[in-house]
Parts: sequence; C-alpha cells; structure tokens
Amino acid sequence: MEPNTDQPNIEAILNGDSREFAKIVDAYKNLVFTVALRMVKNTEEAEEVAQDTFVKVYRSLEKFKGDSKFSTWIYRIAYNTCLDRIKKHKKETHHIAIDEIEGFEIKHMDNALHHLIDKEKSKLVKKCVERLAPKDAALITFFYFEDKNLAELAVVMDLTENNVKVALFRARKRLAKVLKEQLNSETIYNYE
Amino acid sequence: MNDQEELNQLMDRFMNDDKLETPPLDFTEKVMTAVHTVQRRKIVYRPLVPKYVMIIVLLCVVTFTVVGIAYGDMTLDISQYLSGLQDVNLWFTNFFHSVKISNTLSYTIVLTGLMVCIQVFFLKKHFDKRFI
Repeated sequence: MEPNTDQPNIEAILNGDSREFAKIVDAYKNLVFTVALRMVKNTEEAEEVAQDTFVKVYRSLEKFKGDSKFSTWIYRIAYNTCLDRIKKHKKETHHIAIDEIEGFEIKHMDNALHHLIDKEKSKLVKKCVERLAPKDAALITFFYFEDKNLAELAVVMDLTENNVKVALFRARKRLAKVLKEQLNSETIYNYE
Repeated sequence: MNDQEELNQLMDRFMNDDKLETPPLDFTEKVMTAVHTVQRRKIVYRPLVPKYVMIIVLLCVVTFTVVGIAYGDMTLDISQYLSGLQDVNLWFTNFFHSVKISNTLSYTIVLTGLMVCIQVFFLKKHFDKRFI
C-alpha cells in the first residue's frame, strides 16, 4: 500500500523546498510507474511518462484546490499523461472480446492457481494485466491498489461511478479470458 | 452464488498476488533534476514599470498639480473642451460613413466573435478539468 502522504506541504514546495516534493515522488512513484508501464507497455516510455507526470504535478501544484484527495489528483494526471502518450504515438490497442466463462471453467482456473507458488502467481498476474488494453489495465491496477475505491476511480478516469462499475465488470471478464488462455497455454507447455 | 460473483471473487484472489513495479533507482533524482530546471525557468512576476519610476511619476504629477493650483490660471474654458470633443466625434462619423460593411460580413464578425467566446469557455473548462 502507498504511504500516507495525502496532506503534503504544498506551501513549502511552492516556496522552493524541493525535499518536500521528493517525498511526494517517493510516495507515489511505484503506482504511477506501474500504471504507466501497463498502459504504454514499454519500460523506457513508462519511465518518461512517469517523469512527465511528476513534472506536471509540480507545475500544477498551485492549481490543486483540494476538491479531491491528493493521490487521486496525481493519479488523474498520470492517467491523462499516459492517454496523451498513447494518442501521440498512435499506438494500436487490441481489444479483447468478452467471452462468457462457465462455472466449471472458473473452478478449473481456481484449481490451477492453487497449484502455483506466490512468485509464479505474481508473474502470471503481470503477464495477464500486460495483455489488457491500456484503459482496462489502468482500471484494474488502480482498483486493486487503491482499496477498491470506486468514487476515487471515477474522478481519476473522468467517469461516473456507474460507468466505472460497468467498465470494471468488463475488464474483469477480459482479465479472466486472458487468464484462461494463459493457464491453458502453460498447461500445454508443461505437458510437452 | 452465481457465476459472475464466483468470477469476481476469483479475480479478487488472483489480483491479491499483484505487485507494484519499481522504477529505476535514480528515478527520484531524475525527476528532481527536471523539477529544478522548471524552477529556474519559472516566470517571476516583475512589473513593467519599476516601483521607483512610478514614485517619480507620481511625485511629478503631485508637484505640477500643486504648482498649478498655487501659481497658475485656474479658469477652465469648458466650451473649448467641448468643441474639441465634437471634432473627434465628427471625424469618427465621417470615417465610418465611408466604410461600407455588408450584412454578410457583419453577421460573420458577430458569429465568429460568439464562437470564439464559447470555445474559450469550453476550452478553459476542459483544461481546468484535466488537472482538477
């Protein structure tokens, strides 16, 4: 979980205290970088986008009115910066069709996951989220790392809470589909 | 429990194993270097006319007023002033009389003005929203 830096000393930063700003960077860099990496799908670009995000945060600190949580404000800037980068480089995002997953398939996936050790599981999560479209990947990442707060997510992604629920429902289904494919391919690979 | 709820629970359990990525070790350092560059470039408000010049101008105005009141001839010829104003008015009337603007052009100017005003409002709202 992210450390509690939700009340940063903005006045000190505006007066030139760069150490205060470094604290903010340290507190939010991991989630900002993770979201950037999962959206732009390239480590170097993700680093650039994350840096741009913090520079934008610094430039706009005066504009932060406190209407939302400070973290929400930073994540919104990060999300928009990623979208701008994707638009600028006209990256093609392949959309995964939503398939109905039957009850027995869910149990099959659950069993398969039980046999994996923690390290393998986190590797698999990473692989699956990477395959999602940028918006889905961002939504899933923010949702699970930001205490499943739909209201904050709605602000970050500029959607209504109901739309976030719908988007999350679809993103989870797509993630399940990717997971199913991944587990199938890994099982086949293990048998070969 | 229906399939959807089961799937949601499975996804929740699956995502419990998700871990945050870490940027390179010198990430904060790089950001701070970029921030320092921004700090240096930041525009500092400086008045167009320095304070001391403003004070000198103010002193001159006060001095001339005081001297004018004390030693000058304070009778003000209002009729001369009014005729001057009328001359200016006449010049404007003559000038605009010779310029002919068609209806289409005037409608275009008004509509363009309106569109610019509306777009400025929406653009401002859009950019404000991007940074909350």
